[in-house]
Amino acid sequence: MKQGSSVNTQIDDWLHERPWKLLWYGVPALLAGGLVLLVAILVLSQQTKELNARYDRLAKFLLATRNFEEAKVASLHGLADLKDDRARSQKLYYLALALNGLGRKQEAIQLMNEAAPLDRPGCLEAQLMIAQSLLSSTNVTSEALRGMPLNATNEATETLRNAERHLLNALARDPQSLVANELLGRFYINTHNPAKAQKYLMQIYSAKPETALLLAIVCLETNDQAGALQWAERAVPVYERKVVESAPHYRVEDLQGWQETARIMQTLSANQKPAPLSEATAPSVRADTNAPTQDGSAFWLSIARLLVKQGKYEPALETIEQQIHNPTNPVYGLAIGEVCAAWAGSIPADQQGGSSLRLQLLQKGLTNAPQLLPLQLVLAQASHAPDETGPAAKKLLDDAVAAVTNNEAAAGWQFVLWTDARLRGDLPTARRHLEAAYQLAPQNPLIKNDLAMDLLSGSREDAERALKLIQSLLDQSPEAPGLRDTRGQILAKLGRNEEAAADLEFAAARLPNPQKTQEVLAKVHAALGPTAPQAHPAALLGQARDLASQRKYAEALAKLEPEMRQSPNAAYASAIADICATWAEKTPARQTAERLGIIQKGLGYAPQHAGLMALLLQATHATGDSGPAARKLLDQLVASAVGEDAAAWHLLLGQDARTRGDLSAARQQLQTAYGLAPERTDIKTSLAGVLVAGNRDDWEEGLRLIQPALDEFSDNTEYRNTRGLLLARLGQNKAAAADLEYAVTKLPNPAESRIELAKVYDALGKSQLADQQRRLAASARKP
Amino acid sequence: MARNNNVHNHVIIEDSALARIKASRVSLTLMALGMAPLLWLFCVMSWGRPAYQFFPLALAGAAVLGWRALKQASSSSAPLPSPAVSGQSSVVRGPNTEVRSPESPWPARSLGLAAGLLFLLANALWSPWLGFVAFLLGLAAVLWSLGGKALVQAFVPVMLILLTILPPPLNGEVTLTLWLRSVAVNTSNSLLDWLQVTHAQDGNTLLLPGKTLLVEEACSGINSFILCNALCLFWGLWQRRSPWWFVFALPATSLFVVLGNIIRITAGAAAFYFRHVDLLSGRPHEIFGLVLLLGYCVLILSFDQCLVFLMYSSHSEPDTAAPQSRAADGQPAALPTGGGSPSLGEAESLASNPQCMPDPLTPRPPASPLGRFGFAGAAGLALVGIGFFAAHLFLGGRHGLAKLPSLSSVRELKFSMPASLAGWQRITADSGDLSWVQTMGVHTVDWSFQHNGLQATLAVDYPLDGFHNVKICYLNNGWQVQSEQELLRVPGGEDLHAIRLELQNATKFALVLHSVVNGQGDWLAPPRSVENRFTETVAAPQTGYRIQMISAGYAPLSPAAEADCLAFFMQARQLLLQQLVEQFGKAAIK
Repeated sequence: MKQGSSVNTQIDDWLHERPWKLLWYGVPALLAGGLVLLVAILVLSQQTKELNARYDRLAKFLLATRNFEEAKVASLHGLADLKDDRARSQKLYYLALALNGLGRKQEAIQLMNEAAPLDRPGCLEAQLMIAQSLLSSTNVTSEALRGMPLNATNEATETLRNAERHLLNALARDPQSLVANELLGRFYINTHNPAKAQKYLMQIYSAKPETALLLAIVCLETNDQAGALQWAERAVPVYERKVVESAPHYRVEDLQGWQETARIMQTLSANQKPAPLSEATAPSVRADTNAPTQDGSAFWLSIARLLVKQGKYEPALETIEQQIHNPTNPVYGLAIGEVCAAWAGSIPADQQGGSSLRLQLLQKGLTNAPQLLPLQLVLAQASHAPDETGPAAKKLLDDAVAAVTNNEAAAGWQFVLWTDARLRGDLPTARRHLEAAYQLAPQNPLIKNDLAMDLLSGSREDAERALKLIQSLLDQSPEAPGLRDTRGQILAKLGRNEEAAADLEFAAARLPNPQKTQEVLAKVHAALGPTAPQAHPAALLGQARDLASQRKYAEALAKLEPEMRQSPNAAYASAIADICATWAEKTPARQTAERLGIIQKGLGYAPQHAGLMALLLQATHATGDSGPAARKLLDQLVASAVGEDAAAWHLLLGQDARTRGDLSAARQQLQTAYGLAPERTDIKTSLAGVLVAGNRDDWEEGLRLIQPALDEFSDNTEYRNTRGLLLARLGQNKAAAADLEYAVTKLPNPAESRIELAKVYDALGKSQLADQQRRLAASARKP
Repeated sequence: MARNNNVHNHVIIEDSALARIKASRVSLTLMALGMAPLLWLFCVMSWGRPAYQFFPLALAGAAVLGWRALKQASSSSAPLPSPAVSGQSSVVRGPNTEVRSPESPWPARSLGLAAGLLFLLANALWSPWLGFVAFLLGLAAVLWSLGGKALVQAFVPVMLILLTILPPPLNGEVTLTLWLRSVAVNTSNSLLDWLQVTHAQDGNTLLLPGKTLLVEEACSGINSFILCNALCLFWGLWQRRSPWWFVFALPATSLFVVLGNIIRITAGAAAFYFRHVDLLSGRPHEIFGLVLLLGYCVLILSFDQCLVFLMYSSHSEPDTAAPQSRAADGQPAALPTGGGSPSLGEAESLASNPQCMPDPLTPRPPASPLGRFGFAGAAGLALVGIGFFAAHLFLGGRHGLAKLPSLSSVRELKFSMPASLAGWQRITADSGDLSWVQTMGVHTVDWSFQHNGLQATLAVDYPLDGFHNVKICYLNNGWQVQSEQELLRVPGGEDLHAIRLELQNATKFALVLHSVVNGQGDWLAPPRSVENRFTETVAAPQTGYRIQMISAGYAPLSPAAEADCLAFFMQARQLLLQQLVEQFGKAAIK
C-alpha cells in the first residue's frame, strides 16, 4: 500500500511539475505523430487479395465503358508483384484490351500472346479470343480439311493446331467453360472428328441446351440420322424460346440456330438423306461467327408466326415491319394480316380499350391483306361488338365487302359471313351466305366442304348432294383427313357403314381433335354388328387382365396384340405394357434373355411405362450377355426419345446413377433431363438433391429448384430434407435445422441427415443436441 | 595577498582562446592555405549534390556555434587550460586551491600527425572527401593545442554540425535514398488505394490515368531528410539539450520528413486524379516543397516542446536565452535536472566553467601555443596542399574545379554506326527517342537496331563521374533488377569489362549490357568490395564514357536472342571505343 501510495505521489508530483503550457506548442508534433500512426494502420490493414479483386472488377467495368486509359492503369495495378500465373495472365489480358482500345495494337498483340501462351494455360478469355481469331483467320474450308493429311505442315494446319492448343489450354484453365467446350466442339466438327466433338459438346449440353443443334450436326457427320433427329428436336424449342425472348432485337446466332435446326428437322422428318449444311449457314453455325444469313421474307414470316403462336403479337408486327418492310412484297401484306388477325382475335371482349385496339388492328390488317379469311372473320365478329366500335367495324366490313370486285373475293366474304352466322347460331342467315358463296365460287374447296357438312343435317337427297360435292374434292386430294372425315360422316348418314368406317378410321388416326369422328365411328361399328372390329374394348381388356391374374400372360397378350395392331388404342397399349411388366417381374431372374424380351415387347407398345423402364434399367446391371443387351436397348430407347419422353429417361438414369453413388453421372443426366423438361417437379427436386454435393453456386441453384416444389408440397419429407441439406451448406443454419429436424423424424433412413443436423447444431452452438443426433445416426447405421 | 582585479581580468583576456588564436595566427593561416584547395573542391562537390547544397547553412551554423563556444571560453573567469606545448609544462591551479595536472601534448600531436598523414593521402588521391576528414581532424588537433580537452569538448557541437555535410562512405547515401523512396512510394501506393485513386505502382513510378508520376531522387525526400536532421541537430545543440533529446528528436524528425514526403506524393497524385491539378511539377511543386520544409521546421520545434514537457520540470525548465548571459556573468550554466546527464551543449559550458579552469596565476602562454612543432606542421600542410594543387593545375590540368557548373566545358564527340552490324540492321540513328534506354551524361548519342524481330537501342552517354552503374538509373525509372552479372569470356574467364543487367517491370523484361571507359581507353570497373567502394568514395574523379545496349519486350529473351545481343554489343562497343580513342588522339586501344 505504501509503495503504491509512493508511486502515486511520484506520479502526482511528476504531473504537477510538468510545464503544461509547453504542451500546447507540442500539439502539431502530436498531430503529426497521430497521422503517422494512422498511415501505419492503413498500410498494415490493407488486404492484397481484396484489392486485386477490386481492381479486376474496376478494369472490367472501365473496359466495358471504353475508358481505356484508366483501364490500362487499373490493369497494371499490382501486376509487378503478382506471382500467381493465373491472376497475372488475367491482368495482362485486361491490359492488352486497354492498349488495343488506345490504338497500341502491336503492344496489345504482344501482351495478348503473353496472356495466352501456347505451352500452358493462361487467361481463359485471352486463350479463347486468340483461338477464335486464329479460326477466323484461316479460310480453309471444311471439305479441304477433310482431304488434308494429319501431318500436313502448311500454314493453315499450323494455325488450326495453334487454335486447338489455345482451346485446350482454355479448357485446362476452366473445364466447365461453356465457350471453350463449344468452340472445341465446333473445331472438331470442322476437322471431322465427331467423337471428340461429341465429347466436348456433351459436357455443356445441360448448361447450354442449344448445343443440341451441334450434337445433331455431329450425328449427321456419323450418318446417325435417328440421333440427329433426336438432337434437332431437342434444339427446336430451345431456339424457339430464345428467338421469342429476344424478339424483336434478335441475336444472329439464335436465328441461325433456329433456321438450321428447322432445316435439319425438315430433311430428317421427310426421311431424306440430310444434305450437308447449307453453304450460307454452315460456316457461321460451325465457327460461331456472326455472318447473317436470314435475308428471305419467308424466313421472317415464319419468325412472325412463331411469335404469334407464343402470343407475342407486338414483336411479331415489329419484326415484319423492320425485316420485310416492303409493302409491294405479297409476303409482307400476308404477314401483317396474319399477325393483325391473331392479335385482334386474342383481345378479350372485356378488355379495357380492347375494342378500339381490335378495330385499329383490323384496319391495318385489311389494308395489307384484305383477302385474309381469319382477318375477315375477326372483323365479322367485331361488327357485333356492343360498344361504339361495333358500328365502326360493321361499316368497315360493309366497305370491304362493297370494295370487292371479283367473285372469288366476294365468295370469300360470303364464306366468312356464313361462318360468323353459324357460330352465332343464326343458321338461316348462315346458310344464305354459304349458298351465295357457293354460287360465287363453286370450286372453292372450303366452301364445298362446309356446304357438304351443312347438307348432312338435311334430307337424304341433301346427303347425296353432299357426297357428290365432297367426292369432287377427294378426287383431287384423296388423302386429306378432313375431307375423308366429311365423306365418312356422309356415308354413315347414308347407311354405307363399311365405307364410312374406313374413312372415319383413317380420319380419326390423323385429325388433331377426332372426338366427333370417333363418336360417329363408334356408331358405325355398332351398326356393323358382329362383323365389326372389337366394339367393346373394355370387355376385351377385362378378359386380358383376368388371364394375366391367372399368370397366363402369353394368352392375355395374344388377345390384346392383334386388336392393338388392327386399331391402335392407348388403352390396349397401356394394358399390354402392364401385363409385360408383371410378366417380367414374375419371370425368374436367371432367365435374363426372356425377361429382356418381355420388357422390350412392353416398351414397344408404351415406351414411357415407368415399371418397364425401371425393369430395363435394372436389367442393364445384370451380369452376362443380357446386361450389355439391355444397355444397348436402353441406349436405343433414350436416343429415340424426344422432349419429355427423353427427359423421363434421363431422370431415371440420373436417379439410378445417384443410387449407385456416381454423383457426376447423376448430375449430368439430371441436368440433361432438366434441359429437356424444365417444368417437371420430379426432375427439379432430383437435380436439387444432387446439387447438394456441389459448390456454393450449386447450392444456390439447388435451393432455387427445390423451393417451388416445397411451395406446392410443403410437407414432403424428401423435399424438406433436400432443402435442409442445401441450407446447411449455405450456412443458413436455423432454417436448415427446421427442415432437417422435420426430415429426420420421417425419413426411413435418416442417418446421413442426422449427421448433417448434428453439424448444424454445432454451428448453432447446440452441442448437446448435436451429440444426440450423432448417437442416433450411429445407432441407425448399426446392422 | 590581494590581487588587482583589473590586472587579473586583463591577464584572463590575454590568456583566452582568442588570444591564443591570435598568437598562432601564422600557423593557422598556413594551415588554412594548405587545406583551401581541397576544401574548396569539397564545397564544389557538395554543391553538385542536391542533398548537400545546404552546406553553406551548415557552415554558418557551425560558425555560430563555434563563435559562441569561443566567446564563452574567452569570457570565462579563468584562462583556458594550457596544454604542455613544446616541452613547457604549465601548472594549473584553481582559485579555490584545486590543483589540476597539466594536459599532455601527445593527444594534440597524435591528432595533428593523423590529420597531416590523412591530408597527404587526400592530396595524393586528390580526394576532397578525405581532405574534409583531414580538416576535421586538424581542427581537433588545433583546438586541443589551443585549449586542451576542454576546448575540444566545447567545439564538439561544431564538429557534429560539420559532419552533417560529409557524405557517408560506401554509397550509404544512395542506399538511404533508395530506401526513402521505396518507403515513400509504397506507402503512397497504399494510401492511394485507400483513397480509391485508380493508379498503379511500377517500381518508383506511379501511373495515373493520363499521367506517369516518376518519383525521382529529389522526391525521395533525401534532401529534406538530411537538411531537417541537420536543422534538428543544430537546434538541439543551440538549446543545449540532453543526449536523450537527440535520441528521440532525430528519429522523430526523420519520421516527419518521410510522412511529409508521403503526403506530398499522395496529395499530388490524388489532386491530379480527382481535379486534374498538377502539384508535382513546376511552381506548385516548389511551393509545396517549401511549405513542407516550413512544416518540418514547425514540427521540429513542436516536438522539441513535447520533449521539454516530458523531460524537464516546470522548475528546471531550460532557459534557452540564458547560456550567453550566464556565461557573461561568469556563473556556471544550470545543469538540467530532467535529463539526468549533461547536454552536448554543456561541453561548452564546462569549458567555460571557472571552477574547472586553472588558476589565473599560471605562467603566461607562449607567443604561439602551437609552438615550433605546430608551425612546422602548418608549413608542411601549406606546402603539401598548395604543391599538389599546383601540380594538378599546371601538370595534369585536372584540378577538379571543372566540376563547377560555370567552369564545365564538355567536349562533344562524334560517333557513328554502320547500317548493318553483326547481322543487326540499323533502323534509326540519333533519333533522340530514348524510349527505354536510361542515360545520365550531358551528351547522348543513340541508335536503334533490329534483328530477327528483336529491337535494341544502342547508346553512348558522357561525361560521367568515373564508373557509374546505369542500374541506378533504371531503378530510378521503375525497373527492378532481376540479376546483375559481370561478363567473362568463355572459356578462359577473361574479364570482358561489360555488365549484364536483367530488368523487369510490371509488364516488360529487358536486357541491358553496358561498359564504361575513360578518355584513355581504359575500362572502368565497378567497385567489387567494401575496400573498392571506399576507395571509390575517396578517389579522384575521372571522366567516364558509357556504352550501353538495351533490348526490351513483353517476354524474357531466349538464350539465342541474348547471344545475338551480346555479339552485337561487343562489336558495337569495339567500334565506338575506337572512335572515342581516336578523337582523344590515343593510338593504343586496350
